[in-house]
Amino acid sequence: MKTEKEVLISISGLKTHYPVRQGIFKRTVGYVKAVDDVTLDIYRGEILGVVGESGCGKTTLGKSVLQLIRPTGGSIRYAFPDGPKELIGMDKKEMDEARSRMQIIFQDPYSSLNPSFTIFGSMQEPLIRFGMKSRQERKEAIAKLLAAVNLPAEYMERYPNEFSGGQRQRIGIARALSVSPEFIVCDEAVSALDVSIQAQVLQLLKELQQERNLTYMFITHDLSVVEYVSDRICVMYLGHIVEVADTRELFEHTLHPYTRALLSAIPVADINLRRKRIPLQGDVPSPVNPPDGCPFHPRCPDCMDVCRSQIPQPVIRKKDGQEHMVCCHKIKEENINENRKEAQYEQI
Amino acid sequence: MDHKTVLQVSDLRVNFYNNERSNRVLRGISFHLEKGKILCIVGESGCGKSVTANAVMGLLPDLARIEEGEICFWQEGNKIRIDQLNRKGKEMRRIRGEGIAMIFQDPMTALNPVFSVGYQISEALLYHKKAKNKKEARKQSIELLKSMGIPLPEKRVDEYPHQFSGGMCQRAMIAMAMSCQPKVLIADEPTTALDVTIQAQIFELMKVLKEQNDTAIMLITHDMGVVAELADEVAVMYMGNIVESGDARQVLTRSAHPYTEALLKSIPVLGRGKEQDLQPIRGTTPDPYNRPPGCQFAPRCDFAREKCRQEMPPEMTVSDEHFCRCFYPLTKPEVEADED
Repeated sequence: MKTEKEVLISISGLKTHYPVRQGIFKRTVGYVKAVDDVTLDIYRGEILGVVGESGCGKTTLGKSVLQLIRPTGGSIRYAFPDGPKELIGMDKKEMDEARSRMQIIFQDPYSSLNPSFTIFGSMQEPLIRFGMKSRQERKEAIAKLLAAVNLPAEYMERYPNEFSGGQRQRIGIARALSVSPEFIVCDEAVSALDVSIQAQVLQLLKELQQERNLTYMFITHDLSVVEYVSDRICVMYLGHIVEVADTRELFEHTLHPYTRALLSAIPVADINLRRKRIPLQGDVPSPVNPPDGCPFHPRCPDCMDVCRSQIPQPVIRKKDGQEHMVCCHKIKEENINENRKEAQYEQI
Repeated sequence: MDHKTVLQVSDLRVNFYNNERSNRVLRGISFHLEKGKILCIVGESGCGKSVTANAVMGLLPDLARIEEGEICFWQEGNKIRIDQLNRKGKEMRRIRGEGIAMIFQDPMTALNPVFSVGYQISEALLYHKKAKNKKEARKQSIELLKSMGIPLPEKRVDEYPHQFSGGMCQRAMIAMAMSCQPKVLIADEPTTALDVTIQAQIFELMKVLKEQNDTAIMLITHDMGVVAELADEVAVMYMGNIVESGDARQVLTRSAHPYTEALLKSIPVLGRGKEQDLQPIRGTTPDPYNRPPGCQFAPRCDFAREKCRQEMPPEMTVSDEHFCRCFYPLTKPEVEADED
């Protein structure tokens, strides 16, 4: 395992709120708190999985990190070669430079490519922007990129409608790789693909990550995929991070009741593993009027009085040098003994 | 035919015609549905899952034609040939809702946005004469919504679909489908548009329906996880054929067809960790207008031999109630099922 972990992106207190406008004057009547007070470190060379239900702010978090959506507050510091710099409020020139280090792969392979451009047309733009002036050079570079995602070089003269979903997603990956980024946000990169194709793309992403020492932020709602792909998992609920831990730690010693419910809700493709579910009642509350206190308390099976009034503070447990962060009133700060296997609950 | 079977589809062939080409969407599929059982139909997009469901409901588009085969539905001991009924005729309308009901994939678009949810449920009740008048229908609608676990049904019944969340819309859809206590419920990817926690709630609901009302459920999905959780029987489809069918446990643990096996190996399974070995299926599904001549899966199959590329394998019995369309099944037919 990695011994020395270098922080690539340090997010602290990140807030992204969308105004809700109403009436003919478009007065702001409230805010959708899509991402509310998120603090997270992303280490170099890791695959960080971000999971949660729809509307929990996963995509907003990813886009906020890339500054594709302007965050309302907080700070995002990116470790450039000459030291960490604040991304929020960075001037345009510097931001362009930073963009060559950070890329995104979008969810829908059908709408993320311009239908009136050939693949060459779509893929050459970032290369031109980052100073590859000769057409021949660009062609060679694109052929190499297509080869990296297992597509023949002739495909660059074709239009997106000639490709299947899996091929388009590969092209999307090749385009993201074209500027040799260090950090890629994969926003539901395999969700729109058929199961047999999904595995191909997942393996490709994993191989590329190892070859090029990339850092991924892997946003998905599918926990089986995230377990297969990521080193560390961050669970979000209603704009808040509720639990962050190493993949194995999270699956073996689940602490937050939401994570536990989420895990039990997933249909497992192994007939010998039919289990008892922890059914969750109700729906995700509206992020316009989030509940007071812990955002999960209206659906929590073991909700207490304190949950209704106070937002739980992150509690960090250390085990073998790995951090396990959880936001729940029931979890008390302590260092878990290595031998102690079971997740400890405070008895009340 | 034993009395437990409520729906029998045999050798159904459906073609779609457009641009002077014909796409043989269903190439002879057969299955039957029993009371109180869940049959899962799995397959990738474009393999003909939804066409099967629509054929049973008589909802095929105008460009489609049933070429061959029969769809039989047993109602009170009478055999009704759905494929011969007029799609817009009185009999078909009577069967829809009362005999066979369907839940669609996207609950937000399947409900009519300009009518209240209560109105849409009572419509079915009044049409099938399950309620004498509007007042009674409304009362029953409230009951139905309540049984589907919708909070404050008295208030919700007058609300419109946009005021419902995705999960609640799907519950309302199920309420509507169950309003006339149909014998068969067809669910076409009922939870694909929903979150996992809501999906779990909907599945619990479907299990209850199966047990309490003895409804036969035909569940269409692309998620092997759902199959493993819910199915009593499975039919795996690939390019318009059922390639393997049978008891869920048999099919999933002792898959005979290479496609089923490959599909199971290509999906990450929760709880198996990072080291699990995913084996993607190479290539892509063939173009339906340019199909391989023999077994449809042959170009992607690791076990394909010359014979597979030439002709379509017939349906073979692997063991009791376990069929597969493959010349060289992975589970040898002579091996008796000796589980546990």
